[in-house]
Amino acid sequence: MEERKFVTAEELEAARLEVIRLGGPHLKKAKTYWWIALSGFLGTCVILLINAMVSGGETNVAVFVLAGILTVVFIVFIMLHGKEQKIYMNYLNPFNATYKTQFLPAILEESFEKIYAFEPHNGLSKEIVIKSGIFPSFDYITTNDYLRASHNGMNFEYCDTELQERHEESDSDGGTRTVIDTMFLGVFIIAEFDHFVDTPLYILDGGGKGTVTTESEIFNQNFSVKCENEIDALRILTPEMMDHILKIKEFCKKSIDLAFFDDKIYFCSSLGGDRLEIAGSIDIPVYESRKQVDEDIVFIKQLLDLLNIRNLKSKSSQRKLTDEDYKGNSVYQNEHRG
Amino acid sequence: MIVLLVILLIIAFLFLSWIVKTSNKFKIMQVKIGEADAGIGVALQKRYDTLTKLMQTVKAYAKHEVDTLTKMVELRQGLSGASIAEKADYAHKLDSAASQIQVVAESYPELRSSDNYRQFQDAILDSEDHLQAARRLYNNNVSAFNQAIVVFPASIIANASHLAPLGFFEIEEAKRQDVVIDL
Repeated sequence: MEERKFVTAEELEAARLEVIRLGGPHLKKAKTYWWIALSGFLGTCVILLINAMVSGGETNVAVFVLAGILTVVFIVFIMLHGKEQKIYMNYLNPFNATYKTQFLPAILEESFEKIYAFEPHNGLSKEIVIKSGIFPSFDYITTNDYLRASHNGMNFEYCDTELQERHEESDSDGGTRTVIDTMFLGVFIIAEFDHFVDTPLYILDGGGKGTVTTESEIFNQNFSVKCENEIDALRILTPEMMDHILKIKEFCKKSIDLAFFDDKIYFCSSLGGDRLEIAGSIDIPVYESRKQVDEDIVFIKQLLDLLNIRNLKSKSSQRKLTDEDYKGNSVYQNEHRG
Repeated sequence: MIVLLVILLIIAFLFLSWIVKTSNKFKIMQVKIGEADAGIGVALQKRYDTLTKLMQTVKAYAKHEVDTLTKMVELRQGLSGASIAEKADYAHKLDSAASQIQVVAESYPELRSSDNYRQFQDAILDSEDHLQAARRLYNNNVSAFNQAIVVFPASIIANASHLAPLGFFEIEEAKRQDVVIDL
């Protein structure tokens, strides 16, 4: 990762207070103007409605003058609101940028073995997500918080991802309208895995649609396994591996999908929302926001520990392992605790 | 009368369809078992080939021991016509030979540290994984078949076709430990 200037929590907190000090009055004004504009708009609507009900459609000049005045009030104050909001955002945006580019990277560097890249506004490309084979089709992709790093000796790529698909729906008038649905919202991780067989293997959430049936009834109920070669699939899906994948699903408490090929595991889980974000409100102190970010990082690291299954795949690799290899793995630590 | 005839014809058609469907299902299962059986053959052949290559490497250090093991794992009649029990027995012999080779190699640190030996060791373990997966696939298919032929009413077709439960591919742990090769 290139050298960059980091800010401390204290410096970021000072920046937050500065945003409140300088931007706060503008935000307050923006809110006031918003309410006045809204009142003008609602007032116009109410007056015209009452006029229509009382006068039976006859033109009442006074009413229209009043409605006109309120409309002007609405327009003027909505413009003032926009202006104040913009001034406030001019203070807030640099703060958010500082958080993402100078504060969060420092936390990530403390938390992971090595950071190769962190790009808050970028993510995995559409081509890579398609290549994973987990999502056969989607129309739009939004990804951010791209992190390429190393954890417990395993290189990985991480990003928050949203996939959407567009489809046509017919309405009551017989016409059609375009609807955009979110089909996936969660994390997408690519981790190292020595794929020692030739055939790609897909383990998709929801049982009953696969080409390979394993001996584990519970695994078959939870996942559909797709692979062109059943023996290759079972070479990766050892009983230990199946238990482990079920453990990952239990940890995520949401649907998970995995693909194994090209010496990589492609993993995604519909965990929803954004991780590694600063608190929604500027009124929350930095140390409070930091707590949430730390919790997110702990969660990501635990998930990565679970995905560190390079050595669980086969007997040959298992035999090469020593306790030293496992010590950083939280699964191992949990199993050997006490 | 015609209505009754039509109903009977429909029932007969449905019954025949069910017979054909069930019978085909059993045939497909048998084909899958056959394929899995062939998969075991391939895995055993791979294990044999790897083991003989490893033995060639070890032979330079321990000729007598390796000759004994080579005779033990020799493929006398090939694997294509062997029954699943014979294959299981053979797999068990290969496992034993692999373990014995390791024991022999323990006495020769120079051999153990050679790159060639380590590569073959990895290949042996890889072939073991392959055989395990083939064994599991075969047993999964046999288990599904054995369950299908005893469930009523499919069991009627199974009995009429003289289908009997098939044996699993298993190497008993006790049997594994019985093998003592006099080197």
